[in-house]
Amino acid sequence: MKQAELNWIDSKMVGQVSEIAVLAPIKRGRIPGERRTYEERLQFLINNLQGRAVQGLPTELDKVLTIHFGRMIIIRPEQYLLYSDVPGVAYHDNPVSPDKKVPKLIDEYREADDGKPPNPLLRSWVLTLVEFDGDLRAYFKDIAQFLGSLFDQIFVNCEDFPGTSKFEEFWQWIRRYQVSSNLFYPHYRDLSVVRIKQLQDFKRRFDDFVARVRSPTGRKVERIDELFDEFLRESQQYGENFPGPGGVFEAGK
Amino acid sequence: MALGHEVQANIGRVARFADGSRRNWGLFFFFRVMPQQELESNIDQLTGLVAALLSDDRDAADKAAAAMQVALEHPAAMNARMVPPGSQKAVMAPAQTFLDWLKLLVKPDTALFGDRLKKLMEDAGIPTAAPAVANAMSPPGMFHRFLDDFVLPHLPDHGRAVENILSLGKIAAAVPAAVLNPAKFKELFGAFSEGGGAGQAGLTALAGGLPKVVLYELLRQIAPSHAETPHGAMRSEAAQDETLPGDDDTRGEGWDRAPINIAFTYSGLSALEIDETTLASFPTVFRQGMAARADVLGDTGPSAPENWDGVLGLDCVHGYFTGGFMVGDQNLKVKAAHWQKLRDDVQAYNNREGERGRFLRIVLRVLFMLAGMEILHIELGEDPHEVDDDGSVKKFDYRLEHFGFRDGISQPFVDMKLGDPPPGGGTPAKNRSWAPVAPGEIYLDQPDEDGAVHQLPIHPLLRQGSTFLVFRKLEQDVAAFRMYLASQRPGDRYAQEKLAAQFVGRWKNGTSLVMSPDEPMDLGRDPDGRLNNFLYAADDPNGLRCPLGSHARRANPRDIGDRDGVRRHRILRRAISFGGPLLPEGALGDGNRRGLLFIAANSRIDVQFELIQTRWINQGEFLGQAGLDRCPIIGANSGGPTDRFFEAKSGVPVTGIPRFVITRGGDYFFCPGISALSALADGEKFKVEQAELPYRGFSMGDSQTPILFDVDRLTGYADRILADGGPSVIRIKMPGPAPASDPISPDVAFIARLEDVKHVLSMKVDPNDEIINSVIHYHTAVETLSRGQDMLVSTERGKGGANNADRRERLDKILNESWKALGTDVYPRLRAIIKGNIEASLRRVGPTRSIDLVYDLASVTVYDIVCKLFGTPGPNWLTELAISLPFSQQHVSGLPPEWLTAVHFDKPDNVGLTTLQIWSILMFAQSVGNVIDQDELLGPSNQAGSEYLTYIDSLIATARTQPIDKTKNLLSAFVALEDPFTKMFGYSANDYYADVRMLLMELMGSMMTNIPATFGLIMQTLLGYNLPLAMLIPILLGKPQFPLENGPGAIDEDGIARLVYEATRINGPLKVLMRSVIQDQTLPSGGKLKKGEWVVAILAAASIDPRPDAFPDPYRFSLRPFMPGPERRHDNYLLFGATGGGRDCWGRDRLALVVLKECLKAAGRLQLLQRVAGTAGQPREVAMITIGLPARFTGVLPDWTA
Repeated sequence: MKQAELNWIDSKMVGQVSEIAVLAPIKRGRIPGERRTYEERLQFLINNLQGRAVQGLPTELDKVLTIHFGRMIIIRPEQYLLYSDVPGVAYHDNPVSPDKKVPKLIDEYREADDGKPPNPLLRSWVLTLVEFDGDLRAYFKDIAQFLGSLFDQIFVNCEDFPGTSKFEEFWQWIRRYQVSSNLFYPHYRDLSVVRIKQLQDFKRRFDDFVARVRSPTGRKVERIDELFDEFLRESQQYGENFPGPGGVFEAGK
Repeated sequence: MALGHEVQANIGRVARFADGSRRNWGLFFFFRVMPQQELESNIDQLTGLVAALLSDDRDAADKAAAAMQVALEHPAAMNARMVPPGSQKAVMAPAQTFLDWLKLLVKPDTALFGDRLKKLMEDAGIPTAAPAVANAMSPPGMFHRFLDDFVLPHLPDHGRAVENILSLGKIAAAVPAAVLNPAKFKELFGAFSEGGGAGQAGLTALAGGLPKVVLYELLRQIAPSHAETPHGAMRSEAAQDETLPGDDDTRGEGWDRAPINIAFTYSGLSALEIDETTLASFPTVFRQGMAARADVLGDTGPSAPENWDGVLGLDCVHGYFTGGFMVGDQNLKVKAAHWQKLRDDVQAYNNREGERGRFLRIVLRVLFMLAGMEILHIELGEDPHEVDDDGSVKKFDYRLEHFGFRDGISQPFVDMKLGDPPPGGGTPAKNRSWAPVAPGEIYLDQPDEDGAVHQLPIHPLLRQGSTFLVFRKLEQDVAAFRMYLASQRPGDRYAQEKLAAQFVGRWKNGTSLVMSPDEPMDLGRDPDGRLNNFLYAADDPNGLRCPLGSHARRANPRDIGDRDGVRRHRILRRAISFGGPLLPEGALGDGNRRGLLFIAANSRIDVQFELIQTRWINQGEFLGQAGLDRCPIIGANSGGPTDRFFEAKSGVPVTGIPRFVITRGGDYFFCPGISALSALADGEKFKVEQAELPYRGFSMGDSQTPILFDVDRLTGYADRILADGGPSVIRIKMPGPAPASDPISPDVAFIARLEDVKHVLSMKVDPNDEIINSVIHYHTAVETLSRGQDMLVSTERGKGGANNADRRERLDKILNESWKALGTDVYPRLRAIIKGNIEASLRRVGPTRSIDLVYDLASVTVYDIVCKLFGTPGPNWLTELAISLPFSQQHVSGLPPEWLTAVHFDKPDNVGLTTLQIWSILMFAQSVGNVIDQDELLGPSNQAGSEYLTYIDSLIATARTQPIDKTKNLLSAFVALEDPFTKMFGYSANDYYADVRMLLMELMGSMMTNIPATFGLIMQTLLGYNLPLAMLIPILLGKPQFPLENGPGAIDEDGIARLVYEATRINGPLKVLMRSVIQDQTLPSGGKLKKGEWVVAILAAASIDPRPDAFPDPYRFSLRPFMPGPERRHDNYLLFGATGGGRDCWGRDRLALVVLKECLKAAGRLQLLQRVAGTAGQPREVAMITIGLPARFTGVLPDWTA
């Protein structure tokens, strides 16, 4: 099979929504000066982001207004080696289907002098999946601008990562590790994140308006024209802070 | 076997009483399965008492009886056994008698249970023919008199403990007597029926309040064993048909054979030691329990688990079983007052209110002890009724709920081959016919609507006729409901009724709005089944008659949605109301709580109950409909503009709907079929061989990023090291690459045997004064965050290592002399500060009945000590770290301002306290806690250190301008002693204050961090094991009763200190401590440590080392000499490190123990103190250090007088 050079993957785009999938190798071994591996640090950082997201605390990710959904998945050798047969890897016995070998867990913290052969040279990977509005390059410009330090903190645990400050190198690194999404399916192809938030806000303002001018018992407000004009003025266009620089769509303004 | 022969009766169909009437009341007993150990320990106590009585040793008998009374009133106190932290190891096999009781319920045969009881009594030295058993029965009325006359005022009187216990013994003896002796059973039963029928027997029981109701229930459970029936009290639907209603009465037995049900929580199945893999195959939502699902279910605000009743939602609840029987009959009226008495009893029982509550606890305790159970909580369900002029109960023609609507009309009819579907009682089919619901939607061994058969839980027997039950205690705010209707339709009763009907989707009499939108139809007894025979999509597709958002329409949408309609989302409702009589028309409350005990059976909680609750009830978009907001009746509304409802044909909603129905508790239960119950009773663990598991049990979830200090790894090492013949050191190589200059590169040697841990932590030096093991890593960390200084904790005696022995000596001296300078009244002053704070806190939180144990007791107290005794209050500003840390930022300037508004950041009550707390935690996390040397902590901790020291400098500068008064506080003592110390050490004032500054930082830091965190752990342990502090404290303040064999130690006479040590042994603040190995050495165990490596002492493991010199019977919570239990040597406890090596904790006796003990005594004054269910009950942490622990209580006791 012939392998072309710079055979980079293009993101899939449906309507105005795009996807990216990056599968990057995590550095092996221990961080100098620490009692933990690069993989542990990566996991710690991801867990920290996840924890804040669950608690409802804003994160740096909010600052990139085009992200619909994002996921990061650490993939361990025991997972991708399932049903493989690689020399040096220890497998569970499977008397029923010997060709379906399940690897035993691989521990980086080995007992001294345990008399067993060294761990095979295998890596963990981090798979990052994002759905976002617009074009890939514009997205990564945003990343470099708004998310730079967090992105660097995370991906410095991966091989070859040049940092976001040198955008061209960063761009090439992304393309190097981008993988093809065989399927990308958005349920709403024409709605951007900001548009969704704006529609939600519009509905809320509309409900408020109705509650002000109409009562279920039939009572009506006299100044309805005035209030309607006010509603229209407030709800059609927003001149600022939607969202603010921190990416928060503040309710009630 | 056919489904009907497996499903528990009452689940498949409505329960009926002996006269064939529909069950109109029921009891729900929420129980805990006693561990076998606990039962044995009770029997041991009894044995001692019997022996003492037989040998006429009144003294010994008094003591034994007193101990027994405590154990009976507070089961956990004497018998707590701990599960090692992080381990799944089972050390608590369930009481065998519980299983025997279960067996008796399923298979009416007294042999097994009877034999076991006989043996238990014989073990205790009581022959079964002994007078106690015989006396209880003869003459027949005797037993009742015991219950009636058991003299309440004597309970608190420990001087009468022997008499109390004997009385209780006679009560308890009723159970074995009734089991073992058919004649005695009949006599006892006869005393209930008094020659009448089941109605009379029920009435006698009811009139006797909770104790007699419970006794009658127990007798009903035993009864089938003495009758000639093949079916136990727990029987199948098919068996129920053979036990014909009314039959019993005609036989003249005079008892109601209404069946009972039993169901288990996940923790209950776990307590029964079901195989772990099988347990893992239960659905996630069931394993999590209802409290954990609160946010999903909309149980928020007033409905949130932290506000739930009693123990509901906590994992100490292992399951519930039901009771309920015919009370009175057509000729035998029942007084409403009797029901009120039972309601009052249940409430007193649940809240342990007053002497009545205490009496009920102890009576039920002894009655159920022999069945291996403790009843934790009781709920009483009653159909709402009216009270007649003569005070008797008047039933309604049909079943109502408390808002006044006819209830229980529509049920999915499940085909058990026991009858045909009634109209509206199944799934809508062609031509307005109704098809039965596929039984697999409810039962786990049947095909579901798609013909699919369940495969989980993994063991097939567990699925046979089994189902999952959803239990929710839903309080109905009838007054709020009426007031809201009145506010929306003022002065117009018809309009109010109509709006209520719009909300519900039916008129009060049950007529659907689809059939009659403008006014209710009178359907009489509804002979044609018209009440329920209607469709929505076919009859009223746009909600012009019955509003789209109405309760009935969204809870059971019938034919709405042609794709994924109601077919797959069915629940079988078995609800019953609570609260007794309806709130009289027009009234806005009478102080009683009313509502519904919602019970529903389904085979998939997530797809069925939870989907209905989340999407149909609490979201507005489902089944092709949109904009339906939330259910106006049971939705999670909160009175806001978006809490709204559109009436039929109206484009304008009513808004501001409040929450009319408040969740007061609940959980998910597994309700096993009869065969599974029988197997459970036989001790079956339902293990499935690996080959039979899906994919042999492997999953992608198996793999995980290895971490050096994770709990599983430490537990695994500890298990090996603690095992006899195991290695005493496990040495781990750091993964590469390993630069030679990296101090982290050397191996890490794990030790866990107590003798080794004590040896290493004692920091003894060799005969040449050379250091053997060093804290050089503390030194490095402290040096970094203080720019070249040291604290006591980072200094060490001897030569080598951190090489700062001189500094240690100097710091020691300065601290000791300055403390002494405070004068002899320092301890009274300290106590006054503590007392003042605790009293203020208790007064403040008392009326709210909720407390943050750590903050309200410990944190505010230690902060006040820091302010007053140390003279070092926190700043009057808030460190920016307090704001930025939750966002993982070091500086506020890195945060967009809107983030702070978005999370509603509130300024803390006490900025000085919060600031000191944050600084202290960060400083300790980096200097002592950062065992993996992670880099992220360095920035914030250095900033904290730098702010801390700058601030302390400013305090010192101010103090130096004040008049000299060495007794005022510690800071002024330091200043006062400047002269002598600079002379003594021959250094400058600047050097002296550098030392003072570090001492202050360490003292303030230890106070603010360690004491609250340790208190939090102690309370978590005590609450987790249900140890009743209010009961324990007086015992621990009293005289030790159980002498130590190995002679007295320093804390022998200090019971509260015992509690501190024993609780932190099980759950200590530090799981590991690390030292740098400076010299090759052989450990006491014989293991070897090598120069240059790191040694990690697993404190959590050393604290459960079972060796005779360590902690024999390590999982036993022992408060000897105050309570029976294995002996614990106080110098084995590791809370304050190892003693004897010149590194004893300076603040232990001066400050830490004093504060911890007072906080414990304060917590002991909180009645019925218990954890808070759900996520709100989790401890609050900063950098993994506990700063908050929410709890609830029912009242505050006066201060202890000992």
